[in-house]
Amino acid sequence: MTQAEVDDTLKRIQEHKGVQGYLIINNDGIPIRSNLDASLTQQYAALIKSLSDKARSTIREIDPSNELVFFRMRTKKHEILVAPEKEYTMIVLQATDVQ
Amino acid sequence: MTQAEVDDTLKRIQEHKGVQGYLIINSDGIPIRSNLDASLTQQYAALIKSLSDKARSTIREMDPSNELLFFRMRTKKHEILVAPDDEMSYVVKQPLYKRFSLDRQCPMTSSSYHGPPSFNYRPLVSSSKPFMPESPTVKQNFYITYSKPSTPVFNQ
Repeated sequence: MTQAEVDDTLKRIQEHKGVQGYLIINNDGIPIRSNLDASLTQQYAALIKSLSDKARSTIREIDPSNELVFFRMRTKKHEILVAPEKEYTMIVLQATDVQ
Repeated sequence: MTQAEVDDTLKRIQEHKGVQGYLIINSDGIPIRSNLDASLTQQYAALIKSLSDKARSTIREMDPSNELLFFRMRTKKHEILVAPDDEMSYVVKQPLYKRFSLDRQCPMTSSSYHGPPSFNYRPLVSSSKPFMPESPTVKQNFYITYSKPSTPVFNQ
């Protein structure tokens, strides 16, 4: 994917109804792209990265041939979607009261 | 919710297209109800409970007034839905929607694990929160229509 395609995709996600913010972190938990403010970005990067790692290892423990592809957490205030990949992890926050 | 309502709800979930199994764990991580075999039940109970606790505390750390309601993990082979509650968690395992088949992929065993011998029969579901077998963002509508065939089925 070229940089332009990446930007287009991120723009499309951002403009999706209900999306409050997104965050891309690398394998070390360092945020690369984000449209949230700095402190929130750092907080999400650290916490969600460690949760995502635990989720991946849980799935591996249950079945070593299986692999976590995606997970979503629904909370009272919003919904957090996490897509862990080999090199990066993508995190999106969206509101829950939008169709 | 009465015991009958709980059983009906569980039956409805179990018969939902694609559901491979379900599991109810109490807050100590002990499985109360399950339709998976014993070893898988124990494994899921321990691992998913600890993941669920970490997820809940992560959400609380980010915002103490917020609370985890539901989470779903999509893996290559199936999807695991977890509904943590204050008293217990509900875990449902279902294959990915793309690979629906009318036959259930895991034959259900007749063993339903009812807990240790001293388990007291009481309502399993707290009445304070509604039971959410599916994430509310997934809108599923089931339309069952009964209609007469437009052409006669038999030649008479």
